[in-house]
Amino acid sequence: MFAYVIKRFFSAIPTLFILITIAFFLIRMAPGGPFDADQALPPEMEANLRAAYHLDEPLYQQYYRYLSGLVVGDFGPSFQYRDFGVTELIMTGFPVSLRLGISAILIALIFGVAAGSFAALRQNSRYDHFIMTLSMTGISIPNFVVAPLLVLFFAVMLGWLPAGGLGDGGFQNFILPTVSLALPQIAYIARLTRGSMIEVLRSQFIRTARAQGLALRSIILHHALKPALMPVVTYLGPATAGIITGSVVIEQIFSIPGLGRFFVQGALNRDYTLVMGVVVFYGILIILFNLIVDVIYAYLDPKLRK
Amino acid sequence: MILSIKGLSVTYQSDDGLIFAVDDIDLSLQEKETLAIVGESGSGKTQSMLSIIGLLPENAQIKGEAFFNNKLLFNQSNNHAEEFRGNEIGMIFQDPMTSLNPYLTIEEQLGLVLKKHLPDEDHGKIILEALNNVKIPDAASKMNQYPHELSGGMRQRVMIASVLMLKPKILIADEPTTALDVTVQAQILALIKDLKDQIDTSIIFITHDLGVVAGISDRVVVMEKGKIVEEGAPEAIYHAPKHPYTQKLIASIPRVDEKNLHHQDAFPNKSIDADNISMEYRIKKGWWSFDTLKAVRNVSCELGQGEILGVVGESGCGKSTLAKSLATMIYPTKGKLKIFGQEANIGNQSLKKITQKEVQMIFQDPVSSMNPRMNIESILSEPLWTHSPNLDKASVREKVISALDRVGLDSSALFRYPHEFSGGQCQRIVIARALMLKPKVIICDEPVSSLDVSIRKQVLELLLTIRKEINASLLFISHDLSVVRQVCDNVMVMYLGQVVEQANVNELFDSPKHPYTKALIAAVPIPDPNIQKQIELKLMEGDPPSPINLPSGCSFADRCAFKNDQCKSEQILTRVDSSLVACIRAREIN
Amino acid sequence: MITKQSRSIWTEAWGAIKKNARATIAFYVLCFMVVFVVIGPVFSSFAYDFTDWSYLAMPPNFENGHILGTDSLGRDVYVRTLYGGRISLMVGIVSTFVSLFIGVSYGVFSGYMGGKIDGFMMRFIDVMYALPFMFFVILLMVFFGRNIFLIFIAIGAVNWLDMARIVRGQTLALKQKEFVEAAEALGVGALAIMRRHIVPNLLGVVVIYITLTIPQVILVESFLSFLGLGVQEPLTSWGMLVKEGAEDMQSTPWLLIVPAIFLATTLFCFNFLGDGLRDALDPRDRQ
Repeated sequence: MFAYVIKRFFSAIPTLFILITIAFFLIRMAPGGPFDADQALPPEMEANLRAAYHLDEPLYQQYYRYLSGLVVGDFGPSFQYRDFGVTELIMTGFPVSLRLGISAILIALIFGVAAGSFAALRQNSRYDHFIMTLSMTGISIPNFVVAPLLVLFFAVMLGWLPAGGLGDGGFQNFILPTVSLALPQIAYIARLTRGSMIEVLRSQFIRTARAQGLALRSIILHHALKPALMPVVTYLGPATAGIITGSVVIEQIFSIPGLGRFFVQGALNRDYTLVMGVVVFYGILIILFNLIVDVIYAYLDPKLRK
Repeated sequence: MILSIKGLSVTYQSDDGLIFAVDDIDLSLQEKETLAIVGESGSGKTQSMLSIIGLLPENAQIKGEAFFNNKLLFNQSNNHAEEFRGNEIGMIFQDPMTSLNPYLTIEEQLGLVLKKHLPDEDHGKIILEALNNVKIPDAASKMNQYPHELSGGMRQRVMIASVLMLKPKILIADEPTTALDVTVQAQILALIKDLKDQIDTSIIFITHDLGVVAGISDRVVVMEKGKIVEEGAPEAIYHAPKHPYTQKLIASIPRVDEKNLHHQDAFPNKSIDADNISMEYRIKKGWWSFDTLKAVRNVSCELGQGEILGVVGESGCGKSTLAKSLATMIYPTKGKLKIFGQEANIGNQSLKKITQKEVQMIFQDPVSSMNPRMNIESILSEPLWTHSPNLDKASVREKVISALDRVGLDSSALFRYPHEFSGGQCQRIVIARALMLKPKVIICDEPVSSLDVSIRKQVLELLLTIRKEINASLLFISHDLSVVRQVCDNVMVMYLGQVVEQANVNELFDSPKHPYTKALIAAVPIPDPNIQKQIELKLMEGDPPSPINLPSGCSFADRCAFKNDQCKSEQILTRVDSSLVACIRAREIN
Repeated sequence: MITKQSRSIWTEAWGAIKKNARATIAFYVLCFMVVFVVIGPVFSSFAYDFTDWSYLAMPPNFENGHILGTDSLGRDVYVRTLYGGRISLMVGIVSTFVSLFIGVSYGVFSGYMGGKIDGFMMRFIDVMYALPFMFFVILLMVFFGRNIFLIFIAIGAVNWLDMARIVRGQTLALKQKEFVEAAEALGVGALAIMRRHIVPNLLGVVVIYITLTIPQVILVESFLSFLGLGVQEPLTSWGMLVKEGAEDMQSTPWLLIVPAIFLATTLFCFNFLGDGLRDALDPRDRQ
């Protein structure tokens, strides 16, 4: 088990390296410099700026500079917010996004698994059809449609919850964004759970457990639940990626000053270092999370545990 | 009477109307009786028993009634089967590999059963006792293991323990030994026989194999197409069957204790000559270390032109690896293999071209031997297109039709797909494909094992007649010793990649020399209750060790009844009479 | 030769659809939808980029010919929705086939070759999986401008990973089948085995994959549209229309409702169809 964790950890390093390399060269390939956004700057001033940002160095030197910065957690300076480092910017946005993302994943897991198991146990009943149609809706309607509708209903019409912004950072400000972010994932996890639960319930060892006279409740709780949840554990990796992508939209709609907003702003303002920093940061998060998921999976599966 | 079933029918609604899985049967079971229900696939034997325990699929419709100990199990309107299942009626299934939950330890799974039925007792103690009762060695440590850490035989023992620890009145065993090797099967059968005397449980033993139940049953019921066709004492069923179906069934079973009368001895021309070949593979263990898997070890054998050479052994003994090397799909890592006089090695691609045409294969499962998306004409013409791409369409079709005709099918089969044929028909088509190129050697890997008993004989006979017509050699791989005895000229017995004994067929079966061969042959159940009830099995204990990192000396020594200290370090090949035996004590013990 | 061999998959698929009422309806609705977005604009007298200055942001009205209303620039919602549908469906179908082609070739090759090649190719997929592609796509759009072909390629290039994994798994299972071994023993070449024995047997998963990927791609396109990175004006897509509609849902609700209904119906139907096919064709369930 320990050897597996170590091995898995080391195998993440090349992935990380490729991620950084692609991000770096992709951005350097882009046409148009960072400083031609507004009006043209005087040439000598631009040259000064270029020198200040080391853009006058050969590419490999810039690359090396960037890599060695990353090792100590320095994402370099921002082109737009000239007084801040990218690391600082990421660290202001990240806690907000993290809070949003983690609550969304937890909600998605709890409701998704519950709804999926419930539907599987009443396969082809009215409840099953209802839950599955509902989750199909969750997958079929983009969350930038669902989110404004929720705002319209709960904030504008009922006035129960704030329509956007963080306010004082209180709990109620997070409800609508979290729910909007979680909805597609709830739907997906519900479908996944239902499918795997049905498959597990058809397996031979469930037949054995039934022949042993165990009560349905005990069969589901002790025999079926764990194997049925294994695909959900595997899905947690892609789910994180989905939540991160979704947060970009949700943070826009609810005007939440998280990482996703920085990314969109940065992309539109051609703030190369910020965009690159956020992409690399997201990449590291996804790689890290996949690593954790793999370890959890190995821990849960008796065949891999040793 | 512990169980009585009256007028039971199990039906399913399908697109083509009502299907009768079980069709109006009456059945009763006495206390402490062992009842055998024998039938082929689709006879309704399992369906009828699933209804007793209330585990039929939801779309099944039940008619009739059943009583357990004079209490209603089910009738038209009520079903109480659930109340009895587990504590009064227990059931074990065919495949022990998938019947246990892979995510729970043995103790956890059995504990759940006890929690339900005996909540107040000391679970650890009961489980340990139950595992000891089914003779699981070192039971205390096995309790904390997961199913994948146990062998198939051990898992089936755990299954039996999980049922018997509740002391049910009825144990239903559905083909409990079918998925197991023959020596393990013998162990499990002996165990069931033992337990039967110790506890007062009635047993219903469902099987397709008349041999398996000959020694343990008090009464036999034969089922065909959902109906009971014959019922009686084993002696009557085996020796004087009345119903034509039973007669056919009994007549079609090959027997390991009957002489093979049409075998041949001398084969002057050699097709294949293997001299001391081994196949070793490296398996990655850690980051830098390797294990060596010895799939085949120092095998020498010859296959004469026209000879049928049997290869027997249990799963994992290397027989399929050996077969693949004879078809040059893989090459020996040591030793010399000559095929049609040429040496087989990776550099000899011209030999590969020859063997692709002259060495053909027939596999165990005929259905998966054919591409489900190709029709029969495409399947049968593939060998022709591959080896003579310039043939014109008309002559290809002519050849395909004549091949179909030869295996007893007509040209209406041409444009149909494999799933439209029965298992037996599929195997005929596979035979036809193997014969398209008139090969010199045919490798048959368990060619009839997946077929029902009553059609095995026809398919075997067809295979033998046709190969005689083209005078091909046959390498006949099988775990079914009875078939091998009736079919082969010479036989080699393999154990963990090694040939432990090699002799002509009657010599080998009549006077086995190697302790493993002895045990193997003794483990084959004989479909005759008079013989089978007498036999005191000299059981071989344990399971074969892993073929990875084998110990030195004789690898069978750990399980051998005749071993001494020398066996652990030495092993030699000796000739005893006309047999070659890999055992240093071969002369002493025979 | 291929057509003769693969007869049964389409019959089988159709048989499976027919048994499932929801899938059947979904199938017909999709057929209708495709036909409708192609010929529907003929029934209106407005061009998709025509600005009707006399009817700005008008609700649906039969008398002036704008049966589903107009947007704030006076453009006809009916025509624009159908044109948007063309783009959305095209993006969905083309991208899916791009990823299908790459994924199947990659997966079959990797699975069939096995050993070190397989190990290396799958390692590559693992690495790709861990990359935040969505963000790379956004970067590309930002730097190189919006371009419909870029959308096709970008989305297709992300989705092929799933296909490659699924196909490789199936290929490994098929490789164990005795008919493949039989063909190998017979001397049929590796490429011919892949083409004749492996690929035709993958059609089941491929059909399922197609029906479940098209809606995903349409969603991704709408996500890009939301960020203002979708197709360029005056061209439009369902995603664009929905995004624009969502901005003013209180004052001009029909601008959201009309394209949203089209989009959701299409995605619904693809998903229902895919689920129905999966229930019937998934080799795991077939005994």
